[in-house]
Amino acid sequence: MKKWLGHTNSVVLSVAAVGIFILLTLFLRSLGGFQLDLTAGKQYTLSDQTLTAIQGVKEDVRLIAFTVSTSQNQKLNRDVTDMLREYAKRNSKLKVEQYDLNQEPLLAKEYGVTEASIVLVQGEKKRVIDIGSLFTQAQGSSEGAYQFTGEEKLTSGLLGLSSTRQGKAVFLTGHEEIPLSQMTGLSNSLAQDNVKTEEVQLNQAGSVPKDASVLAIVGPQRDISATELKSIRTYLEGGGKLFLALGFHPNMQSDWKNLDALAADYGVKDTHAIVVDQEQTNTLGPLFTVPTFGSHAITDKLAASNLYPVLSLSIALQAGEQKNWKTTALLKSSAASYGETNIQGLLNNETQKDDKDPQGPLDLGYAVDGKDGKPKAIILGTSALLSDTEISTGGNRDFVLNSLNYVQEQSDGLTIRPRQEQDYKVVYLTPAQAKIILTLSVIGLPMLFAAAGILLWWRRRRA
Amino acid sequence: MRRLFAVCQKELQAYLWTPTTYFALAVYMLLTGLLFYTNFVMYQPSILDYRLVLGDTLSMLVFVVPLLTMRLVAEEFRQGTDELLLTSPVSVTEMIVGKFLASLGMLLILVLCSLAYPVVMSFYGALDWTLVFTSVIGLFMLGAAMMAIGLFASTLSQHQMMSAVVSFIILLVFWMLDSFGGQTGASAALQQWLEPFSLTARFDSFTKGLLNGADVLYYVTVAGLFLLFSIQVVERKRWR
Repeated sequence: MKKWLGHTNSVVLSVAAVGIFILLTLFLRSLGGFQLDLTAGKQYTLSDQTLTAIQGVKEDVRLIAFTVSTSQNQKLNRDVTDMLREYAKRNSKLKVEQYDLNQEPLLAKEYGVTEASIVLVQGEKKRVIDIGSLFTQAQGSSEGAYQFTGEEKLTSGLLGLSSTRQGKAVFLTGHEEIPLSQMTGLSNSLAQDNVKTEEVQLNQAGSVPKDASVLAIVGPQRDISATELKSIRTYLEGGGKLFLALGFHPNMQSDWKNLDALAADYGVKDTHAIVVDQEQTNTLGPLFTVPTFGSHAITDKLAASNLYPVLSLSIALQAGEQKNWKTTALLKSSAASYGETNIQGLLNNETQKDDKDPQGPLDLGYAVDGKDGKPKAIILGTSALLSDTEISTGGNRDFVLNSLNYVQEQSDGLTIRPRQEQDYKVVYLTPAQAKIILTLSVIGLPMLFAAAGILLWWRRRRA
Repeated sequence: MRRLFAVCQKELQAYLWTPTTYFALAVYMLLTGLLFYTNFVMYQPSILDYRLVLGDTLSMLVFVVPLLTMRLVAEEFRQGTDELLLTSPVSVTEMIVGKFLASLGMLLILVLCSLAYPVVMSFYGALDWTLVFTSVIGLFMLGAAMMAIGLFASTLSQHQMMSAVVSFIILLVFWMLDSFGGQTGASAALQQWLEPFSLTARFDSFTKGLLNGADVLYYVTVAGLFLLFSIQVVERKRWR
C-alpha cells in the first residue's frame, strides 16, 4: 500500500510539473516583450506606435520573408528576419515564414514577388514590402554603416492591412501619357495603400469620375483640349485633387497652353527649361538630377532616411505669389545647375548655359495647399520616375507614394526613427595569421585537454 | 545545504580526476575549433561576428553533454553505492541537486573554453562584447537545461552508455522541436505549438544582445522539471 501510494504521488507530482511547465512556457511567451535590450542602438526596442499596431492585430497575419541568400546580404537578411521575429513575439496572431526566393520561385510568383520582399497576408488582403527599400546608405558616418527603415515600413504595412479607407486614383489618357500598363509598380503599391487605379479619357467620359480621390496626369506629350481643361477645372473646383507630372517634350514651349494654364491656376509656372545639373547628378550624366528636398510633410521623412529620388529630363518650375494657394518647393536642383531653354540644342547634345537659361538652384516640384492647410495639388516637372523602368531607382517609389498619399489626405503620418546599423566588420587574414589560428584552436587547445587526460590516466595507472 | 555542497564537491572531484572528462573536453574543443576555423578563416574576408561562429558550435553540446552527465547517477547504480546514499542522511533532493551543481561547474569550464574563440577574433578587430556577454549567458543557461536532461537520463539506467544514448535522444528531440512540421497548413500549426518548447529557438535572443525574460525562465523551468523527474526516479528506488 505504502509502495503504491509512493508511486502515485510521484506520478501525480510529475504530471502536475509538466502541466505547469507547459502553461508557464506558453504564458511567458505571450508576454513577448518582457526583455532587456542590451544592444548599442536598442535595436530590438520597438516604438510605441509599432507596439500599438501589433496589439491591434486581431486576425492572423502571415509575415512571409522572401530573401535572397548571398554572402553580401547575410547581415541584411538577418536584420529583416530578426525584426519579423520581434513583431511575432508580441502577438501570437503574427506568424513568421521565411523562404529563399531562388528556391521557392513558384510560391513567390503566387504572391507576385520577383525580388527580395516581405509579404504581409491577412485573409485575402496582402501587402508587399520590397526588402531593398528598407536599407539606405548612412551619410556622414563610418564606413559600412547603413540605415534600416524596416520598422516604419512593416508597421505601416500592418496598419494598412486593417485600414478600411479607400481611394481611387484616376489617370488621364488620350495625350500620350505614360499608360498604367507601364506603371504597374506604382499601381501595385497604390493598391497596397487601398487606392484603386483606373484610366479615363475625358473626351469619351465627359467628366472626371466623381469618386476619384485624385486626378493624375503623368507625362502628357500632347496638350489637353479646352473642353478637357474645363472638365478638369470643374472636378478640381468641386474639391478634387490634382497630381500633375510633366514630361519632356520637344515642343512643350509652344504646344502646352492648356497644361500650363492648369498649373498656373495653382501659381506654378512651367519655364520649359530642362535642368542640366553637373553637381547633384548620378553616373548617367547631367540630365539626371538627384535633387535636394524642400521641407514638407512629403519629404521630411525621406530626407531623414537619405532616400532621394533620381529624376531624368526634369523641367524647371517657378512658383509665384498666390492669393488662394500656398506652394512649397519639394525638389531642388543644385546651385551649379541651370535650365536649358534651347531644347533643339539639347537634342543635338549642344548644352551650354546662356543668358536666357535660368540659373540654379531650380525648383522641380511643388506641393500646393489651400489656405485652410488642406492639400490640393502636386505639380512636378518630371514624370519618368513613375514608370516601371524608374520607379525602383533611388527613393522614387517612396517620393511618389508619399506625394500621392499626401494629396489624397491618406497620409497616416507614421514616423519611426530608422535604425543606424553597422555592416559586418571584416578582416583579411594573412596565411601566417590563419596558421596561428589553426595551431591555436584546432591543435593547441584540444591537445592541451588531451594531454591533461593522458597525464591523469598515466598517474592513476601508476598509483 | 552542507550535505548538498559535500555531494557537489565529491562529484566535481570525480569529474576533475577522471581522464574521460578531459578527453570529452578535448573532443569538444577539437570539433568546435574546426567549426570556428572553417567559419572564421576558411571564407575570406573573415567576418567579426561571434553569432556566426557560435551558431554552428552550439550543436556540439548535444554530443558532449550526454558524455559529461552519463556517469552521474548511473555509476552509483552500477557500483551499488546508491544504496549507501539512500540510507545516508543525504536526501535524494540534496544528492540530485548536488550532482547537478557539479555538472554546472563542468559546464562553466566548457563555456570559458568557448570564450577562446571570441578572444581570438578580437585580436583582428573590434568585437561587440555585449553580444559575446549575452551569448555566454545564453550558452550557460542552455547548457544548464541540457545538463539537467542528461542527469535525468543518467537516473534511468545503471549502464552509462545507455544513459548517454537516452540523453542524446531527449536532447535531440528538444533541439529539433522547432523544425518539425512545415511552414504551411496543419504542420505549420503543429510547429507553432512546438516551437516555444525548442531549446534552440530560445537561444536566438541571447545572441542578439537580448535578455528575454521568457527565454531565461524557460531554461530555468526545463532544468527544474528534469531535476524533479530525476528526484522522482531515484525516490522510486526507496519504494522498491
